[in-house]
Amino acid sequence: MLGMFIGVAALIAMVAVGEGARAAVEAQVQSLGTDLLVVLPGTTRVNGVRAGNGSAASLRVKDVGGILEEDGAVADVSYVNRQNTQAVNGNQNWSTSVQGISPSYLSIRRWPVVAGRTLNDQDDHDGAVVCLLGQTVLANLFGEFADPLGATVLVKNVPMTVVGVLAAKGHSASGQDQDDVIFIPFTTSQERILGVATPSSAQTLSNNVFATIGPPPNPFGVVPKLEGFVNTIFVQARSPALVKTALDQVTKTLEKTHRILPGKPDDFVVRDLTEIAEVAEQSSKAMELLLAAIASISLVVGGIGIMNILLVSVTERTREIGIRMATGARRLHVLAQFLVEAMLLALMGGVAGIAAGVVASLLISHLAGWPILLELNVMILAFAFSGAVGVFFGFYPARQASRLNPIDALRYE
Amino acid sequence: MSDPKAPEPILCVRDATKVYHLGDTEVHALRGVTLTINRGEFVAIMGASGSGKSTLMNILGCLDRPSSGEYLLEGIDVAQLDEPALARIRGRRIGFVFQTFNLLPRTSALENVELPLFYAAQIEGNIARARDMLNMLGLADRERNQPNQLSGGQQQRVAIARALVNDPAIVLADEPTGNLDSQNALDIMATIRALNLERGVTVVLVTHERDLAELADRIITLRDGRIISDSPTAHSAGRGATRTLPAVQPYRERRFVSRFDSLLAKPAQSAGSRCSRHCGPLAETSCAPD
Repeated sequence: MLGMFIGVAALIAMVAVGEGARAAVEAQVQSLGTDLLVVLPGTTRVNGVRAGNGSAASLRVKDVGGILEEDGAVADVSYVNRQNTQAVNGNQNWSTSVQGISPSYLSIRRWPVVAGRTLNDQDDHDGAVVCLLGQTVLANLFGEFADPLGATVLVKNVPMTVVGVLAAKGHSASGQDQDDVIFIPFTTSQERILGVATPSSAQTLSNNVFATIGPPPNPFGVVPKLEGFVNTIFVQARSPALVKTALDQVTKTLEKTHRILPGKPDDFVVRDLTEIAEVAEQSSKAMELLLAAIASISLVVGGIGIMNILLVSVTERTREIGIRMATGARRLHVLAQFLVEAMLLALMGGVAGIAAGVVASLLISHLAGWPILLELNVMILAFAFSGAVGVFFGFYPARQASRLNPIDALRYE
Repeated sequence: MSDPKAPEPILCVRDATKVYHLGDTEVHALRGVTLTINRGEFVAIMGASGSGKSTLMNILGCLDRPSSGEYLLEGIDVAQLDEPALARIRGRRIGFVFQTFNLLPRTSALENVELPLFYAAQIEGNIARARDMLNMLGLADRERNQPNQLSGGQQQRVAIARALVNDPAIVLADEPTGNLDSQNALDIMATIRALNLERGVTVVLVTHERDLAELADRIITLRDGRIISDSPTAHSAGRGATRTLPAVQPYRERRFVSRFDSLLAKPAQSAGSRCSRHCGPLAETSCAPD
């Protein structure tokens, strides 16, 4: 029973801590974007020269509405407008990627702020001149000690208030520094800072969409602006497993709204982050294997403990077995008695083990600060398993007991 | 026993041998024992240690099988039976009383008595029946006691209650008084004798003490695995073959105890008298007309 107790307690604690660790690892891997799809505009073709993906201005804000409405596997969508430009704070300046984001972008990327607040719907609606700084930008514009919150930085010569600082995200899988970024509301970016999202980073006459169709009449010399174009659409699938489904759905929806005829090339590209997803799957499998190994070892150890206890018990109670046989017990009765005893021992050990395991894992999480995940079905499984282990390991001692010769058992001292 | 002149054999052993193998040496515990015991008889088996008494008892009780020879219990050849059938016989047809009582430890007297009922798959009325048995043996107020809370004599009476609870045809008592003082020994013997007389239970008893053996109807003496004498006791010979057993009557608790209390008082008063030496304390009432 002690063996079972320790076994089950170890099992529960291990699984709780392990599941907690696994959940933490999965959350980390997911923050890399296992459930993300990236939609890029297609290519442009000017005089037979084709630019790469993302060079065409083919994605619009209104595409986002279509995707959200029609595609069941999609949880959320956000869109980004991006340009490399200069940011200035006092006597410091830094060239960085300024991105106009829709409000859901940070939650889709699982990218929290460590100070201040995020950008909200109101900011986007108002076109507020507020921004969030990435860690690299913060270090280069403010240094170590200055408090950036509430400060004003010039972004492409527009003064903007810093309302938040982003958590460090580190480098992307391809080595790009993701913290070298300033986020501003999408509306602000489109109307005041960056202008229309265009295929390249800067709008010039040569790559402006107007260049291909010829400039419209412009009697007052107004800077041409097209609204509602985006550089990238980020699509979050409902779960990492649904990424492929979401990819198909998004492709179909966009083909429809963009009126792409069958057989013609799409004017957009949908990508998933397969590399990251594979890593995530492998790490989760490895964790599962580890937990299963720990659980089975502790159960086997507990089972062997029960077997030993019962073997001793059979020896100690040989005389009792003899008495029972002399009073009419069949071998089957003796077998059943010891099996039931084994099972009860195991179940009692199991219940005590579950209680101890829960306490131990709470203690571990409290002392070590590890996340734990206590799951009811693990406990039910442990309980059922301890009973099964009891029967399995109780069978040998029970059989030994039932095979005793009545007369030898009675005479046993 | 409707017709005492035609005794019905209940145990029938023919040329039974038993050989134990201890390493390379063979130990012949029984060397051809032939024995018939009739229904309702009270037989005492005597003999020195190692004479094969216990081996014979184990074979009679279906706890062991003879190496060769035949054993018929109520006309059934036990050698043909499988394990469940043997367990059935042990549980329902035979009651065991042991020298060391062999009660289950940490189990109340009542539960000990219930045990054979449980294994006989009795479901209803177990407790009532076990309680009746304890009442009959004067242990009504001890049913909650565990064996270690009972005296030796009380433990043996619980064991007798357990042996009788399934209404067996045969009670096998292997030195039931060996671990008891003389007063308790007489008490237990009186109890067994009374069961034999009043319920018609066949009793086979192993004992070392001639005094106690004299209470039986017949004494079989073993030596070196053979029967060397088989003779009726003085008091049963006195009654002859035409002796009648008292009709089986339901017990009433106090009557039973008080009757034997008075009986057992007598040998103490007339200690060393011829009668008690030859016939034991019960001889006077058994021989004398009531």
